[in-house]
Amino acid sequence: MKTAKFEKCPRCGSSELQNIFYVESGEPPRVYVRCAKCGAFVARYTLSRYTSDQPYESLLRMLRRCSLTDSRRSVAEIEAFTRGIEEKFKEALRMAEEGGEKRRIEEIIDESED
Amino acid sequence: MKLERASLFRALWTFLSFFFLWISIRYAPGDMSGAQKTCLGIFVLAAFLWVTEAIPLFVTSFLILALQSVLLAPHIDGNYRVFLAPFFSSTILLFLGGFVLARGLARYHLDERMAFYLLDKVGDSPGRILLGMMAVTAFLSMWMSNTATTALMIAVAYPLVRQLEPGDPFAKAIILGIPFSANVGGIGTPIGTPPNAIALSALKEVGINLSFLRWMVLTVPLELFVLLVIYWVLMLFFRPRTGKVKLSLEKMPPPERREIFVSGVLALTVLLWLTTGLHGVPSSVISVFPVLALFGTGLLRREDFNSLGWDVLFVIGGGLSLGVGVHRSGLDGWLLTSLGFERLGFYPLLLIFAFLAALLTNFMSNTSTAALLVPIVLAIGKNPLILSLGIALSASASMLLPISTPPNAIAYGSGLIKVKDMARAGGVITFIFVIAVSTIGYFYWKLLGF
Repeated sequence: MKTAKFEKCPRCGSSELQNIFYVESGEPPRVYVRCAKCGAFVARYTLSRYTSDQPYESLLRMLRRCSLTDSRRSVAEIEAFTRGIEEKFKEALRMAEEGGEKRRIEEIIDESED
Repeated sequence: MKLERASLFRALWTFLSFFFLWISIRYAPGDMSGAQKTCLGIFVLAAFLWVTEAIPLFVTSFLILALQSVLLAPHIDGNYRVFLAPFFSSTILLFLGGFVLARGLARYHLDERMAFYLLDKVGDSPGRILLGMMAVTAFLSMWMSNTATTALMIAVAYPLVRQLEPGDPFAKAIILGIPFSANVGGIGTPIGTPPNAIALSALKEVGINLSFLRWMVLTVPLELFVLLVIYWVLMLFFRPRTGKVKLSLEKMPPPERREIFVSGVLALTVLLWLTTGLHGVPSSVISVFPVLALFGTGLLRREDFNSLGWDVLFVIGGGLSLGVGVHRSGLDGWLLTSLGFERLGFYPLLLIFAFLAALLTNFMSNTSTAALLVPIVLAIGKNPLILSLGIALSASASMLLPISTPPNAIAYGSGLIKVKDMARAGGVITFIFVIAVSTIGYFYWKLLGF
């Protein structure tokens, strides 16, 4: 399954949202999403991995806590990590703009896990 | 599409490796015993899978264990446990302790603090900055994985590289100097890099127990020499255009109590490792201390434990297990006699195996290289310490290509260096590295009475 959609405020339907990055010691980082228009709570994400607009620097941070043994796979994975993000972002944007996805985000996540 | 082709090739390589296993057993020379033929087959399969990386390296380790238990054990005495034991040997325990310490360092940013503290003193000339970066990388890599050290130090160097004029070759010197120093730094302690574990374990099998301190005495002088060679080659090939550069280091807050405690655990563990001769507790048993101290106090958690480099430990375990098979089956002796190595003098043997290790390690993992070569040279019976050290150290000479070792892959991922930059500088360094191991190393180790 491959799908994407713009997240919207459940109260006013606005797509203008604000991400609040929240960290508490000992807990995984979380992102709270707030509607920029009406201020309503939209969603909360728990992060397992973060990548900024500088993917190589994010990768360096990630690699500090993991081990790599297979060199050939490492080259492929590092290349995929740094190049793949931009390509995937464009693909996700295109799909979201097409607007074909009508299900709720919980439903999409649920079905993707099947 | 590209991914599908890669999967197809992986399947083909895996199929071929089993085909080679069958060919090796079926058509092996007639003077070989059943055990030797079977072990040769497993050896060829392992080598092929390790070179092609058709399946993850740790999976190959499990395959070695399975094949040796099912196919080889009946030829020996039916006891498959001898192939299982290396997976939790004293060397693996030693490495586990090292991994836990490294995790503590990373989790509490002590690695970063140490790097900033040392780099703060290097000044602003490009040469001093490169040397400082390399020295800090090599030092950290003696205690942490080469991958984690490279990732940390490239992140530290990145702001400096970005402030250089576009096209300044010094950027390449910095980006190459870090992985090369991490590769070399690993040779300095028993826990620095997996080939050391293979050599230590193999030496233990022939009754030579090298203490933590003795290993360092044998390897650190060579490490320092090779670091100077790397510095010299990089400054020659990638001469800086600017006379001054500024290293912008983050200001870190004063250490908290938890950080001080972790530093204390680190210092005490290292002290205990270095003084095994005084207190008599084996270094592998000392490795349990950081596990108890850091996990028992909750400073490291279950997630940290789960994400330790288990795959690395299993790759080492598989290598050690293969070594047991090669020795028990007598394949080592057969290979030496058939390939004519027995007729060669000691020094040509050292040179041949050191160069072979350096060649192989650039196309396969350094652990696998040591795992394939160390058991063979031990059967020669002549000075096993020098031969094992020669191979283990040369197996860290992975400087030619991005695929040679993960630290090189990380540096290449920056996009700041080309393959030819790495191959040109790395080729010269690899050559001098191996010559240094087999000349300076040889005479130095002889001087120490080995």
